[in-house]
Amino acid sequence: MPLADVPGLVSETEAFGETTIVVDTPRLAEACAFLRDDHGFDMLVDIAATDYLGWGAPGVSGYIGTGAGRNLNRPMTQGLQALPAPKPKRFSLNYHLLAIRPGAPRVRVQVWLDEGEPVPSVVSVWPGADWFEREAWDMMGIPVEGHPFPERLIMDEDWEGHPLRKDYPLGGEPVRFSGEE
Amino acid sequence: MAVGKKRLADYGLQSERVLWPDKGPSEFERELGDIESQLGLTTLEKAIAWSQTKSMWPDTFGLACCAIEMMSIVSSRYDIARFGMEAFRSSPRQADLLIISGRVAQKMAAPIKQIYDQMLEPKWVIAMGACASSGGMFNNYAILQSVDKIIPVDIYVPGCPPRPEGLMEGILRLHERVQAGVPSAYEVGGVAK
Repeated sequence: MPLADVPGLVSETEAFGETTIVVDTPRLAEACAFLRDDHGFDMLVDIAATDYLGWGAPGVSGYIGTGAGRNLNRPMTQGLQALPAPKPKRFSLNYHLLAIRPGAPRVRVQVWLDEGEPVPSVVSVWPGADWFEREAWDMMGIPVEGHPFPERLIMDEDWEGHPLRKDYPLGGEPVRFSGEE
Repeated sequence: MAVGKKRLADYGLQSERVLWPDKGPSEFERELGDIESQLGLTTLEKAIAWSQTKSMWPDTFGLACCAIEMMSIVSSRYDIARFGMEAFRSSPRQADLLIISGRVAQKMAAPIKQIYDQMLEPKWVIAMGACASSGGMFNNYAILQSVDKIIPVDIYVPGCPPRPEGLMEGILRLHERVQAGVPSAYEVGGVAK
């Protein structure tokens, strides 16, 4: 898929049959509009935010493996493995796009963000991005610039904190079981 | 029973003394007592409690998976219409019973309180399932750990989800409580602290 002409392109990777392009954050809306108009990716399937806090630190992220992943079929591959390569920034925001035509090509547009770094809204490109961006703000604390209704989606309006971050506690109440002591 | 006197049969009434003249008064008095209880001729409070029990209309308040089981007790197999409760009212102002069926999110707590306040006294609450009773399997930031933090609850029905027969047992125990004269939870203690 010749995606070299996407404005703001930083890198393009192909792995496991999926194409991922990393785009410069300020030019995201321009790149998305270009993909929709010139390459025909007219459907936004999902916007997924990921928090990589503690990535690579032993015992924190909980993932031991190489860049290619763990091979469960090869014996004795558990244990002392190389820790995964560090990620560029803390948050990654992935836009999954689908072109509705025979062949149905898909592409993932990725931007990397620090904590508090805002991302431009793509609601003008795909109106369906509305709630996905509100969820990214609510759950991960990624501020979206230019969103028509930037309120929390899942939690209460006056909730403090962003629940799906890695440093947010699970919550709940301590439960005392009758079989204790 | 002189010849000239009218007999009860002349008035169109059947009397056991006429049919069984050997019966003593104690027998008759005993049977009169049975007739009294069969006709419901008891004190006024008992009568009111009985009538509240026999048509306690629930509110359509299905939140999550337990709502499926609540819907199924209206079906013909479990049939809550036997107890006069198949009329689920959509408006809380017309309902007597609030069956909290499902997990209560933090965001849903305010509407639940509002709906409970809109119900008219007397009103009862059944916390159906584990999530409404105690937070269930969701011991985290998003789920209210038991609905009795915001409204007073009469009956807790365990299960995930409770079988329709289980919910029916909870409803019948509520009926027994009401008929025994136990006051509703809001009269007793308010919400859990």
